Amino acid sequence: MNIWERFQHIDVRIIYVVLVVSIALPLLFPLNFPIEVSKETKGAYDVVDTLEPGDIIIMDSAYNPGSGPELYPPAVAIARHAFSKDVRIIGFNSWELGAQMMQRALDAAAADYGKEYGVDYIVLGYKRPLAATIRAAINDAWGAWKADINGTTFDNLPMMADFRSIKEDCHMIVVMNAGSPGAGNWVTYVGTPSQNPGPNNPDGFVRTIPIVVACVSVEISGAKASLQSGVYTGLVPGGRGGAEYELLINHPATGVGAMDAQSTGHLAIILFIILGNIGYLASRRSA
Amino acid sequence: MMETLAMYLAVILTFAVWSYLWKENIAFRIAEHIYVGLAASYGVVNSWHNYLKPTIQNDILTDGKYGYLLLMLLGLLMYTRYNRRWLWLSRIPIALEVGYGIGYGLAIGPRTYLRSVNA
Amino acid sequence: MRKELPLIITFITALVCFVPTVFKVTETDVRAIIDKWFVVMESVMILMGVVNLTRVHGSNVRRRRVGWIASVVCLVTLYAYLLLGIYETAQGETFSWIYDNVLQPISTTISSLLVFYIASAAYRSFRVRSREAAVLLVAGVIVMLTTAPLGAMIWSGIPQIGKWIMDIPNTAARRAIGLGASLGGYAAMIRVLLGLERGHLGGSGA
Repeated sequence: MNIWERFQHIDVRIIYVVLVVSIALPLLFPLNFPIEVSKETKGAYDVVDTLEPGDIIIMDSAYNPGSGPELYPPAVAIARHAFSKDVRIIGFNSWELGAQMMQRALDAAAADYGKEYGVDYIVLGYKRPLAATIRAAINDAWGAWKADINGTTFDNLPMMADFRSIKEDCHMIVVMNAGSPGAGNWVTYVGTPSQNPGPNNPDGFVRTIPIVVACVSVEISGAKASLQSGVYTGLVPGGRGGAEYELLINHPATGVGAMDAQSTGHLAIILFIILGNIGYLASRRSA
Repeated sequence: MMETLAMYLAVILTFAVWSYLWKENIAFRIAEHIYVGLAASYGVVNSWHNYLKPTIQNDILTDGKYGYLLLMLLGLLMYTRYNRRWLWLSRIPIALEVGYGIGYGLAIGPRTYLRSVNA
Repeated sequence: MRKELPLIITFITALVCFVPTVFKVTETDVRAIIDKWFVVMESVMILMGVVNLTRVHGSNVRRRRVGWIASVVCLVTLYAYLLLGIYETAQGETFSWIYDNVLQPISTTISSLLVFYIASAAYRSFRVRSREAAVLLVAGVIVMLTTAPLGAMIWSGIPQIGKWIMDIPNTAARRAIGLGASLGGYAAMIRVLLGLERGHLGGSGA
């Protein structure tokens, strides 16, 4: 076996070490690659920008700490954008372990804008069963949700005086979506009502509630199909979308910082793929 | 000091999990089992403080909605699945859940489906 | 009757949920009442995971199976964190500290293992063995470079080609898969509704 053929049998542990180094180094020594904003992220930004001061939105963290590096930056960026417009936020959690993530994201964004817990934002924590609590909250949020993540009932949270039901008082739903349950539940139960209440429309929604989704990279292909069909109103695609959103709000943070590492990591994988193909073609030629 | 401890803990646990890439070992298994234990109890704690405790304190004990106790009894039937003699009772809450999901799924699902088709 | 009763319950519950959603049959919003009932009913099922883990790992410890020490660690962690959380709230100082510095790093690192496996899988499988494999390889490399800012720096055409791949053929295929899966899901729901599928009711038992 000559040197070229060896390229198709590289020990995977070498690949792992090279990958770790290629991802870690740019985090320590930033390269500041330029990032171009995509039309999807700009579209999502424009949708959130239509909110008026005093509006109440629901931000759902449908992810756990494993997807945190990809979905935490857009969560903070969108929260910052909302707070800059004096929009109030209800933090919801479709995934159990995502409750603290939403708390951290909203606390981080609130600190920059002097927003107060209970007045400008609350975090509900994980409510189960998910589908039933969403369905019940469409008509009666107080009865369905009862209390926030600390167990404080809604009569002790000033913000909730203006939020009695999703269909009357919710102006937008933003979902950080890492899989199921997540955006699918909101789309099914809230995002596809008929427009006008009437005798043949038991939903009785007075308006369609826009749904903006920030998804992990694996979900992008399915999310784009939903965006094109109008099921999603806006899409922040993957970790790159989070970085782009940070640039749009002029507040580059961890999302932008991670893009250098993503570039070098991808480059490392592509180089190994090329080496593997060189080895494969060399072995075919010698055979 | 707590911050230093936190940092060391995070680093040790990260390398314990990554050690699986070399080969399976006791450090990875312990980190994995710690994660399973913490994750399982985290959900229970959240559900207790967010919903169950306020429901019992406010709705049942204060407002007197004793009908909720019947519903809770129905939910408790789920735990009979661990006893072979009473296992058939656990099928009742399962049947209710499945019927609930199917009812709404069939009623609402096609609207989303048709919106995708319309695209 | 023990086998038929759950099927009857499934059918009636599905009808009770389906009919008021599609047709407005009463003045009162029946669905809101049903939703609240299910929320209350399911709220007491929160201990299922804890009970299951206790049974499985308790059995490992009792019988001293291979890896029983890890099972002890699991059970001790489970109950200690549970009692701590009940005593404090989910936002309690110690409870949050453990979440931030133990649970979160482990969770993130376990997810990061995927990166290594994907990298080694890509290295092994992205070989130009056939025309289809070549298309897979080229499309994969272009989309990887599109997602990272590096692609635009190498050549400005890469992001345009990558976006076209994602927006047109990829989305079309994904939509078709999604529609097919949805139809399959509805077919499965109707089969369960009619009692033709009984897998959700479990296997052996009375």
